[in-house]
Amino acid sequence: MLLSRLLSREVVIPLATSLAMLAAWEILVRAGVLRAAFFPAPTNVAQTLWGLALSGELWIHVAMTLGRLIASFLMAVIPGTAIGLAMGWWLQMRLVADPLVRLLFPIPSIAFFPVVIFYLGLSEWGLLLTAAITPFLLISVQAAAAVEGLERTLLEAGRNYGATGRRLFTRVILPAALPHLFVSYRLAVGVGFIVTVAVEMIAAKHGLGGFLWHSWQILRIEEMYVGLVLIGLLGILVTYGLEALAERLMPWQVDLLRSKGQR
Amino acid sequence: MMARRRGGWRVFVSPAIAILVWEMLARAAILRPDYVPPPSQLAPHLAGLLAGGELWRHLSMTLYRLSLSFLFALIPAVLLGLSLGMSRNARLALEPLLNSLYAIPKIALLPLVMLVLGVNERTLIFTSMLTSFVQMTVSTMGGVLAVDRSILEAGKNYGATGWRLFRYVLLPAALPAIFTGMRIGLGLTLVLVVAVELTAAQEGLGAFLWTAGQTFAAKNLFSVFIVIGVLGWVLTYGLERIGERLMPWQQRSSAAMFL
Repeated sequence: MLLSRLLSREVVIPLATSLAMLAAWEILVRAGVLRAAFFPAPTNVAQTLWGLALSGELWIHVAMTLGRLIASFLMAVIPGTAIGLAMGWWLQMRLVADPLVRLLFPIPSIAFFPVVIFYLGLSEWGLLLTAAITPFLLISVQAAAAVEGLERTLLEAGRNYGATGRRLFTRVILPAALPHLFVSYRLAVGVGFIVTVAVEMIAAKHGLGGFLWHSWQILRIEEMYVGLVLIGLLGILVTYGLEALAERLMPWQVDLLRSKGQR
Repeated sequence: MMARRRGGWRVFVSPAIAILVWEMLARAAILRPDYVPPPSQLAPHLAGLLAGGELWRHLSMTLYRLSLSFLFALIPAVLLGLSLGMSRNARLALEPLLNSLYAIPKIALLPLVMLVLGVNERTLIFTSMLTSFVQMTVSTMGGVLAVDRSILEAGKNYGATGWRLFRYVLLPAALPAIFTGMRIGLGLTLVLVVAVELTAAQEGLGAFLWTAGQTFAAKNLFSVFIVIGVLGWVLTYGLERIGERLMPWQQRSSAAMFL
């Protein structure tokens, strides 16, 4: 049973092609077809990674990037959810905030960086704030849309059962909007990750982006690949880990949560 | 979108108030004009920049990079996405690579591309192109996979096979997803172009923005920021409109936001 599942096409083909690509890379480098200066063999990259992991240097950068990602996400998610829900619920709030949010939202996230550091200097706050802006806007837009898109019948039913004010909000509106909120959080983390890495590359000494940029500048190519691999792993965690988590938490919403093709 | 329909002129109220407050704070010397130039000084400055040639040079550089990286990616990405959507084996074989590329912020590939191609124009365009390429491939593939099986069955029952099935059934059904991918891809590519320009270019709006910030030229900084913002709006809302026009039967999905 288990064996037949392990041997099914879904497992064998992806695994085989990935291994074949890595093997081909390794062989081509060893044979001198691919220049090792540009494309160091996977085994060399793995060795470098191992060495950096043992020396502890690696963990500093991973922890730094992860910390920034979490901090900037918190800076985005709390006000974003609050303002978005309020925008969805109160017409006045929508009239005030919606145009401003829509004005700022399409601005490419990274363009905020020079403006932010113009005021805050090249500080940690500058990096965090830059990585929080677009996620914040994204969450508010989506949270507002989630509340607005609620089925009127749900609200009517809630009211008929006597729910008003806070009870209506916590018992009816919030649960109904939750899957949409989660989708926006996932998208927001994805954007936050891109901006965090970009900002680190431009301006930080520590963190995976900084590590990557630094190793490119001093031409430590194996280390550069290690940086890339780790950024990729973190990206996979951010992209697919949260998707899996959401499916676990809200199994009835799988269709909505799997919006990868649309992202 | 809703505000436009529902609010009418009222959408302009709060931005207008924000600008007015900004102006008053600057006039009252609460905000230092050399740090936060008031709108009344910013507007003439921007007009002056637009009248001179420099801003246009940077703008056209950015537009050039943006359109090249988008156009180079478009056809290969759609073709690859369609084939991956239709062939299960190809999909299984390439999905690990595609998914990893999808998850990596493409800006992180800039050093690698610079290493291989050197620090030049090709590098900047290639790095931005990767973003469009991956996004459009994934969206197109998702679109094909999401095509209702019953539509395909119906097409087959009416005798459509091979090319006809593809051309008249599958492709139209996947078109909205392809267009969404293009829209999101273009938005992401703009982010990437600006990021790449901030990092590694001498010309282009991103580079101009960076220089302005580093030399404490607040008016330049704000002006370029506004120009980049306008570019973002045009791309986002403009393409949204085109999509509505071309595919009026397609409801806008609220999950498909752009960055």
